[in-house]
Amino acid sequence: MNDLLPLAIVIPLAGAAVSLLAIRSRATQRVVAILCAVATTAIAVTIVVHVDRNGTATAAMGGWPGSIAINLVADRFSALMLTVGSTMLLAVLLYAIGQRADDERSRWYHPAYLVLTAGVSGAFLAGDLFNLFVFFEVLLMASYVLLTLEGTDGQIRSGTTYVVLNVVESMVLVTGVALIFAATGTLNMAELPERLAALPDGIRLGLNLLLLIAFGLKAAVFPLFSWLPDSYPAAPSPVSAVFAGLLTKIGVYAIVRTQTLLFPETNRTLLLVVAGLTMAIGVFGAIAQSDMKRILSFHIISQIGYMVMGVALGGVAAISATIFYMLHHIPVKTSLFLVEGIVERDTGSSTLDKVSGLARRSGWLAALFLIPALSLAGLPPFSGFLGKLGVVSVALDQRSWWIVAVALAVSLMTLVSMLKIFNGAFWGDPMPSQVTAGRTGVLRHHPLMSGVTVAVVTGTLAIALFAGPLYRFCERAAFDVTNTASYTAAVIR
Amino acid sequence: MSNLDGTRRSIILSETVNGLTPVLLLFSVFLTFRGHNAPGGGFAGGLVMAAAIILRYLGSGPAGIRSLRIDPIMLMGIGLALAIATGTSALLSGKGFLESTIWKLHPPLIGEMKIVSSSVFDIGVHILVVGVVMAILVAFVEADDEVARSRPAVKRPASDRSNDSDRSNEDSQR
Amino acid sequence: MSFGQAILVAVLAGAGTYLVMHRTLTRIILGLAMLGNAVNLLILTSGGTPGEAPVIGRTGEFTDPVPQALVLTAIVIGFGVLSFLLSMAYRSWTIDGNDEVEDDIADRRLADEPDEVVDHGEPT
Repeated sequence: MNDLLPLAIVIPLAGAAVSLLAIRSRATQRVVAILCAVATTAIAVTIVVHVDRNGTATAAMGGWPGSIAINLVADRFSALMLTVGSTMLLAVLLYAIGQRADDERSRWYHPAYLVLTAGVSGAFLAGDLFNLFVFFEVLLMASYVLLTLEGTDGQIRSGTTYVVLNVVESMVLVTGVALIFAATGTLNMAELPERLAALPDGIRLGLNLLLLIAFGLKAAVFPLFSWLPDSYPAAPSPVSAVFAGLLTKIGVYAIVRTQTLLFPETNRTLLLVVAGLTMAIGVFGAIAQSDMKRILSFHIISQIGYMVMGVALGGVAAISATIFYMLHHIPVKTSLFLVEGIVERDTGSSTLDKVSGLARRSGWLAALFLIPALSLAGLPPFSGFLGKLGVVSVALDQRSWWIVAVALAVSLMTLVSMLKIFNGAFWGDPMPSQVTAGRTGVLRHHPLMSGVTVAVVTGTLAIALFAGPLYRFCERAAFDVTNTASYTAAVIR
Repeated sequence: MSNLDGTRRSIILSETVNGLTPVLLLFSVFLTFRGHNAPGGGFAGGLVMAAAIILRYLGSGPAGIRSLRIDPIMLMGIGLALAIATGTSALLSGKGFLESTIWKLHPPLIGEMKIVSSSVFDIGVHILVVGVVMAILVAFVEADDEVARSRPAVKRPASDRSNDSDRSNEDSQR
Repeated sequence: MSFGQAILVAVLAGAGTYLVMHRTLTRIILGLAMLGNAVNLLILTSGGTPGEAPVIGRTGEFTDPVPQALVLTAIVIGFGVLSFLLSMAYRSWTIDGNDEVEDDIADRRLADEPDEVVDHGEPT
C-alpha cells in the first residue's frame, strides 16, 4: 500500500518522459497523458480510502529509516486534497484536448502538464519542508511553461511578472527553510513540532512569518495578490482553469499544514485581519472589472480570504470548515473557468461588452454558469453555503463579530458581481454578430468541453448532496491535522 | 544579431575548442561516475558536457550543433525515463523507492569493481541535463535564424513607444 | 556563521534586491541570480562550522551534510529558473525590441477611467 505514495508522483513524471519521446505524435501524447492522469486519480482514490480506514500512510524513500529518509506522508487531509486535485487535473486535461489547446504550436503542453501533475502530487505528499519547496518548484516550473505556452506578447508580459514574483517567493521560502534548519537541525515535519516548540518565542515568530509570506504569495492573500489577476487571464482557458482551481489552493494547503503542525500556539489576530482584507480587496477588484476572466480571477483572491480566515480562527471546527471549503472551492472555481472557456471559444471574447444574450442561445450553458456562480456566492442549497456556514459559525462561536460582518458583506458582493457576469454575458439580447449563428446549441458544438464541464458542475452538486458524510470526513481530517502527536507517531515508528 | 553564422568566427576559438572538446567530454563522464561518494554527479557532469557543446557552438556556429543530428527533446525523454526507471525498479523488486542496489564484480586485471544502481540514475540525470541545455540552445539558434530571416526593424529604444508618456507621468507622481 | 560569510550574504542580497527593482528583465535576472546565491550561501552557513566529510572511517569534526545537499538542489532549481527567464527575456526582445517589464494593460485601462470605477465600486 505504501508503495502507492511514490507512484502518485512517479507515474505522471514517467508519462512526461514518454510524452517527450513522443513529441512528434500528438495522438500518442494524448493517450499517455490521459492514461497517466487516470492512473494518478485512481491511486489518489485508493490512498484516500486506505488512509481513512487505517490512518496516516507513509513511505520512506531510498530504504532509509523514517527519521532520516525523505518521507512521503498521506494523512486524511493530504489524501483528500490529492484526490480532488488529481480529479480536476484529469478533467481539465480532457477539456484541453477538446479545446485543442495542445495543437502544433504547443507541443510542450502534455509534458508540462504531466510535470505539473507530478508537482501537485508531490506538494501534497511531501513530508518535510525542503521537499515541499522542491515540489513547489516542480509545479511552478511547469506552470511557467504552461502560462507562456504560445509565447505571445501578452503571455510573455504577464508571464514575466508571474515568474519573477514566484522566484522571489521561492527565495523567501528557501531562506525560511534554511533558518528553520539552522535553528532546529531538522526539516522533517514529524520532528519539527517538538523542536520548534523549544525555541524562543521571537525566533519562532520570525520563522513563521517567513513561511507565511512565502506561502501567502503562492495563495495570493492580501497584500501579495497583485500578480494573480494579471497573469491568470493571459493563459489559455484550460490552463487558467487548473491554475485558478488548484495552484493557489496548494498555497493554502501549505499554510494550513505549517500553521497547525509547526506553529500551533500562535496568536493569529494578524492573520485574521489579513483574511478580512483579502476577502474585501478581492471582491472590490472583481466589481471594478469588466472581463469575465479577470472578474473570476479577483474572486479567487476573495475566496482565499475565507480559507485563511478558517486557519486564523484555529481549532478543529475551523480547520474542518476550511478543509470543506477547499474541497468545495476547487471544483467550483475550475468549472467557472471551464464555462468561461466555452463562452470564449464560442464568441471569441471574454469581455462583457462584447458578449451578450448567451442564455437565449443556450439555456444549458447559462445554467452551467449559474450553479457554480451561486455556489461561489454561498447561496443555499449549494456547497458554497455549507462551506461559508462552517467558517462563519466558528467565528460566531469565537465572538469575532467584525470578521463575520466582513464575510457576509463580501458574500453579498460576490453575488452582485456574479450577477454582473450573468447579466452581461447570458441575459439580454444576443449580439448582432452572434445572431447569425442561430439557435444551434452552443454545447453541442463542443461536446468534449461541455461534457467535462457538466461533469465538474455535477460534482459540485454532489458535494452539496453528500455534504454530511463529506463534512464528517473533513472533521476527521481536521482532527488528523491538528493532532501533532499522531502525525509524528505515524512517520517515526 | 547572429555573428555566429560561420563567416565571422574566430579561428583561435574554434581551434581551441576542437582540442578541448574531447577532454571536456571525458571529464564530464568522469564527474558523473565519481559522483557516488565524491563531489560530482549527473548534474555536474551533464553541465560540463553541455558546456562543451555550447563552446562548440561558439567556435563553429550553428552548423556545429546541427551536425550532431540528435534531437535534444529525445535526450530529455530518454534521460528522464532512465532516472525514473531506476527509482521504480527498486520499488518493483520490493525495496523502497529509489533504494540503491550494489553489485560487486570481479573482472580480471582490474580487481574488485563496485557497481551501484544509483549510477544509472546519475547517467539519466546527465543525459537529461545535456538534453535540456541543448534544447535551449537549439531554440535560441532557431529563433536567431527567424530573426535574421525576417530582419525586423532596428532595435527601438524604450522612449519611442506610445505608452511611455503616461508611464513617465505616473513615475513622476510616485 | 562566520562574519565574512554574513557580510557576503548581506551584500549579495542587497545588490540583488536593488537590481530586482528595475524594469529591465536582464537586470532583474542578474538580481535574481545574486539573490539566489545569497540564499544558497545562507543555507550553506546554516550547517554550522566546516569540518571533515561525514564518511564512515574518518574521524574528527564532521560537517553537517544536509545543507550541502539542500544547496545542490537549490542550485539546480536556480539554474532551471534562470535559463527559463533568460529565454523569456530573449523572446521579449524578439517581439518588441526591448526587454522591459510592462504594466498590466487592463489595470492601466481601469486607472485611466476613474469615474467608472467609482460607479461600480460602491455597491452599498
